[in-house]
Amino acid sequence: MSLDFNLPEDAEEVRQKARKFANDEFKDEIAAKYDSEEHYPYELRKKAFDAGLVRIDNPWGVLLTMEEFCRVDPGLGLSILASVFGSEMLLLYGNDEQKQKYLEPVLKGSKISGVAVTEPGAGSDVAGISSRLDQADGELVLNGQKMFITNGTIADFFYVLARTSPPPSKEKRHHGMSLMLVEREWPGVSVNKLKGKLGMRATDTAEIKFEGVKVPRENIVGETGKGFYYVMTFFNISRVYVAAQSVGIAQGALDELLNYIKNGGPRANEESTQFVLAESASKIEAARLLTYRAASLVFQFNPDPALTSMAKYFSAEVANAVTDSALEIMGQRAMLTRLERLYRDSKITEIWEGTSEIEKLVIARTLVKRAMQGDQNAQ
Amino acid sequence: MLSEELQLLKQIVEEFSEKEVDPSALKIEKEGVSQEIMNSLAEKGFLGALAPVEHGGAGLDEKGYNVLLQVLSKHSPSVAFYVFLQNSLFINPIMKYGTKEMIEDAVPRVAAGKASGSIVSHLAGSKLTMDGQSISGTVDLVPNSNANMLLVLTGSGKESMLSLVESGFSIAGDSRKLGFRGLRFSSLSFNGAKAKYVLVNENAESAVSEIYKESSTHISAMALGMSEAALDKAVSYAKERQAFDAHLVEFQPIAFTLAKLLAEFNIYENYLYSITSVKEGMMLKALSLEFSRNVSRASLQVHGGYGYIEDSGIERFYRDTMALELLTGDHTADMTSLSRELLGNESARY
Repeated sequence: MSLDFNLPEDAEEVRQKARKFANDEFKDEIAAKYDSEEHYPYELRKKAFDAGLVRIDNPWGVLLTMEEFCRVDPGLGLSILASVFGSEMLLLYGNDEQKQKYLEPVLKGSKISGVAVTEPGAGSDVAGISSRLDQADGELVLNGQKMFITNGTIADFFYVLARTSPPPSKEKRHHGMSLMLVEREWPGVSVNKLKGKLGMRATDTAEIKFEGVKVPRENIVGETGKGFYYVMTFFNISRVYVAAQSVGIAQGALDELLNYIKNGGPRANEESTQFVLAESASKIEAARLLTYRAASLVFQFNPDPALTSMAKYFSAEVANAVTDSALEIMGQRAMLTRLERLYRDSKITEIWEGTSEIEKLVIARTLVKRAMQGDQNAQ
Repeated sequence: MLSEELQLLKQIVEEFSEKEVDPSALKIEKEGVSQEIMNSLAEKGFLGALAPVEHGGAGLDEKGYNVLLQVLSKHSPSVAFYVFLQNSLFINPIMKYGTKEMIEDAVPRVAAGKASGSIVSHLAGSKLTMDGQSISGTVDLVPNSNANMLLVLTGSGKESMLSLVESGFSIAGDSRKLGFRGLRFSSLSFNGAKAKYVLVNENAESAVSEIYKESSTHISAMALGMSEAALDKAVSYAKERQAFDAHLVEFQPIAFTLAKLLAEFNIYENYLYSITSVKEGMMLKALSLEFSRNVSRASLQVHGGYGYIEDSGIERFYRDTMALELLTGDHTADMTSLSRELLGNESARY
């Protein structure tokens, strides 16, 4: 077992840069405004791109930036960083034409992407989707509905998962799905912004309908029928980023608690407050180390799905627990700080990119499979 | 376990809530509790639930009042909190500390919905000062800041006073709202506001802390009402939503979580209606507030993305259960009081 994270040399520099940007740009009154109005921060996104803070070719950079952005304001941070959402799929499985047409403008910041997998009737159960890409008169036609899609009304195109053939058997439900690039402006695509979210309210979320959308053959990513596999590979990457979101949120709550103590808040010196601080800090440190370890394997193209899921599930739980106990101990005055926003923002980390329940299934199945195979590394 | 009389009351409040509250539950969160709803709350006697009949109230006993709060909280925590504020934190202290004159002046107006009350405590950290009979300063996070009558705590320690104020204050700015979004929360500034009556002229801080302690059971009733609704919704959803070709409730981890929460709920609810002392109320408050947050979090998790959007009415419980914790006391103070009740005055000093 390697305990070397293989952090790149510029890691600390990137972290400091992200931290400075977040502190300068995500001022509380600005963050509160986007939160209450549920607006997407176009200008801040542009600024972050101009500052060179969104660079998918530097995955550690993305991870540390995610952590530092979420530490200050998760809604704004996510809005910016998720504008390249799904790019790893094209990077890994796309052909040169697709990369040139779709990926490059996203990486330059001139276009926004989105991932359209979840459906009204299929969330955790990805293989349960019912969107279909059918052949009709020699053309490929997409029909279906997608739900809770990040960047739904602002993305230029989506990575869409749809069925291209029926499942061969009940056990092989995940066969027969394909991944395709679908532009938002195409005829038959309609989007509807979902308002009134608990948290992450600066991010754009929508439901999408595909009604007889003609999809050119060249927009299929990778091989037909392998979409489920591509999406799962992507989740294995994106889950470490969600783990980093959670670590950032928890750290932000801890920052608030430390501020309160430093400034002599009414309960600053009491032992129950000190214990909340100690327990929270310990949990965060554990979550961070787990996240970095899972990430280091992902970034070395040697992911361990059990470890990735542990990082995602554990860190999300830590984010929820730390924001909860910090609010509780700081009391009513904490409602006037960004802590109440962090509390609301934290909950989604237990849901998106695989609920905590799904993560636990992945962990258990991976470990049992390894034990069955007599793998020495099984833990 | 509820007497026939209480069962009947429960049914009346349920029917009222379904008819008057449910259709506008989302609107209440966005635009506030409407005058129409206020009027029907007054008409039913809910705004003066705890006030004696001779002062225009419904004269409900503790159990009846808890039934009212529990049921209202299931349908609209904002409405329940408003009723709680009028009764537990406004009418009750006036009945307890006020003279006959003060009671006759203030209580019937609130019970009839002709005036609206609130309390200005030290919970948000800011303090007002009293000079002669004139009050100055700014205080944050006053709930129901549209109120025209306020119980105002000024000063600290032995010098602290509790007064009734009807004029001389204004809204300095609205506060962000974690929960109970149907009520307005603002900073209020007092610029030489005159106390109409002084209810407690020394050590009022302890008097206010007594008021909150005596409200512990009421707070628990609201926490349990929210828990009940969040659990009901989670159970229905788990029975109807499918994933992996099965209903969610068929999966052990979800079933076990819900079963355990239901068991806890039943035990707490039974206890709620057996409470006869302030100490028992404090015990239930310490458990039920945290419980209500656990339930709302579990319910949101069962609902997945749907629970995250306001239309489902689930995310509201997630916010309101935490807001209830923060708006009805200071956690450390509550735990210290409870420790001293249970372990003696030497406990929890450091």
